[in-house]
Amino acid sequence: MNDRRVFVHDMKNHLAVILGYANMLIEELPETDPHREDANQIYKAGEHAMALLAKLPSAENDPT
Amino acid sequence: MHNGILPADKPEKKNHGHRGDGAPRRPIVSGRVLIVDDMSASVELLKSILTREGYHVMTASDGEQALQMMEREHPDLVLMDVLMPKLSGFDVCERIKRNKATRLTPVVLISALNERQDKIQGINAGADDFLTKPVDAHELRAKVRSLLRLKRYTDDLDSAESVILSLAMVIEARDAYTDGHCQRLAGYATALGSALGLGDDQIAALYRGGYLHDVGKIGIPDALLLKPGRLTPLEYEQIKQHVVIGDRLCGEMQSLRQVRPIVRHHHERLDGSGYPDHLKGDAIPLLAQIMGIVDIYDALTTARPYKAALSAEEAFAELTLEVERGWRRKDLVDKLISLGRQGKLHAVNEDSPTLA
Repeated sequence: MNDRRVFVHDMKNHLAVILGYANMLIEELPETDPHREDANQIYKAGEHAMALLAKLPSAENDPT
Repeated sequence: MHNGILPADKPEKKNHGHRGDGAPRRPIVSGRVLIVDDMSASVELLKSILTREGYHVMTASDGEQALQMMEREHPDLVLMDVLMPKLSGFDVCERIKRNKATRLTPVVLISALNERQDKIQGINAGADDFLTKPVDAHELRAKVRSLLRLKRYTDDLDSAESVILSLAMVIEARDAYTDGHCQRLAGYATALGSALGLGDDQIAALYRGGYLHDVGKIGIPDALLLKPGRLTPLEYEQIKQHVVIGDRLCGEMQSLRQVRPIVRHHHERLDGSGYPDHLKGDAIPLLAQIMGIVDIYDALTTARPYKAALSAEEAFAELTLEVERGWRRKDLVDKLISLGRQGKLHAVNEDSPTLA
């Protein structure tokens, strides 16, 4: 794998952990808990970062 | 075992609703899950999700360790990252699927790169399912649940087969003179099958058939089965029922579908004078014909209360007579004779036979 694919792979791995834990908080905090919204913000930001990563020019399709 | 991508449970609608206090719940299907990933935070995340579901989770940080855990802990399911240093997820998956002791354990490969090529390589390595990072918690729970259920079924099936095998051993034990008959038949039949160039599935069926061909004798009374004198025609008819009883006993088990024709038809003869269905020629399944021939060979070369054992050559002559009578296929008998003369007919040698 070339450097860019390794970068994308590793970045996704870390973002996946952030998203996963944020999601777990959202699932488990009661509706009324003020921290629920905090976790929501973390989750959204993570999703945005993931979307940006996917836009890297042909990052995953690069055969080199 | 299903080898392709299993239809995963329909993922529940993504909902960010409240799921309770996070205390481990009682899983719908209990199970022990092995998580393999070189990135510890990923391992911990999956572990958190599954532990909360009440599953027993163990972890490994590389392929070597994962294989050791397989050996030692026998998990019910493996969730494994694809991209790991040293052994990749593909390599480990392939080894798990190649090992007889672990091949029925479902393996889910997890990749951060959602690439078609990865999936194809994963299927070739024998993976049962895939997940892409970021792993959707609902999808993860659904897949884990459905694969553990599948593992439960295969485990149950395994034990059902063990029961049938035990029955076969009971029958052998009832008649001291048939001691070792099953092991010999499994050995002879697989040797003949291999020499004929049959595929692995058919060889496995012959192996099992060696043990199970007379399983229906469980339904025949001792007084009849062990009767020292000649049988009356009526008694003989009753004995003949063993192939039908055996077929019915194996009937419920999907994994024995290739063995059933052996059980039912190993007493048929090419000219239609056999039983139970008086099949003729090619209508008699090949595996049943093979079992029929080695069954007779073993009966002839083993001493019984009413007769001494024939030598191998005498038995070959007898089988050749059966060919001339139009009962057996010449090419099959010739192959058996040539194997015998090369010293290639042996009983399977195992302390605790398994239905491999």
